[in-house]
Amino acid sequence: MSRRARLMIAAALLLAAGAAFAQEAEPQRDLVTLYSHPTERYHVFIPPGWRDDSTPQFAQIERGTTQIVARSFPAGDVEAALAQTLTEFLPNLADLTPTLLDPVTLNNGTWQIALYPPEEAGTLTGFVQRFEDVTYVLLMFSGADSRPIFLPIPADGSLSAAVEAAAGLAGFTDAAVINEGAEPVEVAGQAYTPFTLTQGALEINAFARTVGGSAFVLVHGLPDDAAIFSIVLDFFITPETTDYLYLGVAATAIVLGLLVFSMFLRARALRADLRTLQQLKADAA
Amino acid sequence: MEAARGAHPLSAEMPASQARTGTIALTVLTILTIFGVIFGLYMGLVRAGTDIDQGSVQRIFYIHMPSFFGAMLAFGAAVVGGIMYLRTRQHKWDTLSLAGVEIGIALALVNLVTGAIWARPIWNTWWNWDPRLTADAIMVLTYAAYLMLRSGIDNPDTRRRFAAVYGIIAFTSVLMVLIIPRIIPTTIHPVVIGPVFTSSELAQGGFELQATAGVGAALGINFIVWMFLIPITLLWHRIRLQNLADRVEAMKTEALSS
Amino acid sequence: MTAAFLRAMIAVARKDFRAEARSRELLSLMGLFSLLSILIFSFALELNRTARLEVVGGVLWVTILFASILGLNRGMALEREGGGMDALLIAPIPRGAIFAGKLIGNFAFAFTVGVLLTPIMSALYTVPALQPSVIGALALGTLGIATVGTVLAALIGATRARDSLLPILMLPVALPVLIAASRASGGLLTGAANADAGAWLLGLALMDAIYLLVCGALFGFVVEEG
Repeated sequence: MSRRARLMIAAALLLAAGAAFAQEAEPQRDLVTLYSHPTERYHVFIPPGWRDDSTPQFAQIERGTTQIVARSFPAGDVEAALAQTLTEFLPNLADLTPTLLDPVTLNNGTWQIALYPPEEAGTLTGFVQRFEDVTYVLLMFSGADSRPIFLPIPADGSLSAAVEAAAGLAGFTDAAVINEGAEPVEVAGQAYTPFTLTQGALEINAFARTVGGSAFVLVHGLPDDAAIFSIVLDFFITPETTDYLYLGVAATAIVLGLLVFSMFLRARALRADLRTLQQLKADAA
Repeated sequence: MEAARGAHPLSAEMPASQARTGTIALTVLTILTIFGVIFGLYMGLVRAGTDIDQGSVQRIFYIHMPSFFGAMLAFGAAVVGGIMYLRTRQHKWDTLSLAGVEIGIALALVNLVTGAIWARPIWNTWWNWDPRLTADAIMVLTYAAYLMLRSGIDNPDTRRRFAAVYGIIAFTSVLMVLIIPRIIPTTIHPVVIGPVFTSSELAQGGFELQATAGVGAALGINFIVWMFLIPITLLWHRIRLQNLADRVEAMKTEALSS
Repeated sequence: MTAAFLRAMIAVARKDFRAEARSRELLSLMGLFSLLSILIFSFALELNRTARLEVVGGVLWVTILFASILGLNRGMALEREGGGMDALLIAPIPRGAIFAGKLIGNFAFAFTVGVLLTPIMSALYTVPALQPSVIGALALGTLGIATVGTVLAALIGATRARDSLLPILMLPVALPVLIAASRASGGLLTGAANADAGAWLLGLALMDAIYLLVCGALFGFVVEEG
């Protein structure tokens, strides 16, 4: 082989090695605090500025007069799970019963919102999702009377129509948008458009943003409470995929086992041949 | 290539002591490999943390990715064998090529099958026509064609020469697997070396290291096992098998001619 | 590359061209096959306009690849019958020149078929196929196919299965070229993703370069006596 040919092949091999190690650098992302339940496979991102009071049994975070708690219940229906969360979390409000709104499908599953009647101390809102026979509950208590609601954007596609609909669900049935703020407000790294609504003499503020085909609207209360939307949207559950892992290991064992077995069979046949040939040779001699 | 040099000696003409040393070394290596596999599985399946995006199935990466590089090593051995055979015309290099292709196919199959099984829960399909996946399948088919070419040529010298040529050309298919995801932006195949296992569409937050403790160690061990121990041990065994086959063939010819 | 090398290369290529000019066997075989293949595809796929635009690149390249394999097989058979290869090997010319000459011939035939096919595809599938960039993709793609084909066609001469083995050896090795070429020309035809088509063309050129280097280095070992 000529020297040029050797060089060419060497160049091709070098190219291969270079390609193997030329990895795109993964962009460094901000570190977000994450609560992971040790056994129930759910995870809650804790937005910056919130105090983490979580225990191994459940996630609990706080900011000002607002508290959010995350729990999971094996099986059980939605109402029972909500009631039990409330009993453990705020026993003095345990006899409240919520109205469940229509489910809304987000990236991380289908959620139902539970709206509790307003109390003197504040308002309660629950978010519930069922996944693989487990019910996951996120319950929010807002001392500032914030009402987080997400709903599909109405057919005409305007955010203010969605805000009015959300205000209606939160109890302000005749509220109308009188002002849509130009400058978005940032909460937990997301931009929310501020709105002002009026119902009679009452003036109500709201913060809204769209996610896919849904509108996230915080009716009344503090803009900081809009962090609940990030928490709901980032809430995720590790899927149960152990069966596939076993399948993969078994498949690996089968492929390599077949190779080794075929090598063993071939070696055995060859040794038998060798013995026969040696026998023949000995006989001939 | 150490394996080839150690094992090559056509055992028939080799001093008995040397043959015994080789056998002992191979036995030690085999035992080491078996323990390596068990230890690697323990590190990957038990010690390393569970990936919170994908669940347990992510652990298949400890086999999936290193096995591809193991296949690459074996196919690389086939290329070296091919080049050296064309230069020196010594049979041992052709034996190395053949062994490299066979072992490489097995490891590439492991890579393909584990990839498909991983993709079922994560991409929601056993198979998609992702460019890297397609290139990987083409690679296996290319080397299957190599074996067909070998079996199709009667003259042993021509067979060795042509197999060497095709074995070298076939390595372009390995290069394609490495290059394609880098030049084609549409691939959804995660480009992973290192302890980052979020698939691109799930990527959110920099929590991987915290949530998946022990990943680096598990990956390192499994790389050593699947990229070096397993291919080299299997290559060595396969080379010995081929030497035995050649010896039997030679004795048959001798017996027939006498 | 010396003048002698170039002369020898041109002589080898000219021999193929002259034989072809006399018999017109290869081009008519490949051309007829390609026409039939395109008709069969359009019947079998019963395509509407959007689907047509999406698959037209694939149809074009599968047809060209199979036509090339057919042509390479027949070309090799003609060489064997006429003893052309033996004569070439006895002649005092470098192996590289034989490779380059054969490559020029094979490339020219495949490229001609592709270029003839494009206006026909353009009419049958109502796509604007006659564009300089599509011709560029054709040139790069057929060059890749011809490069691999030249070595592999020489390789199968010694095998028992001969003609039936060439597709098996060649399809997997040519598949990267096929994929890149069909993506490149498909993108160019639909005009949808021009940036993408550019990347595929670049990939195609890279593959051609690799194949030319590797196959050029290996051809000499295939045709040596022994």
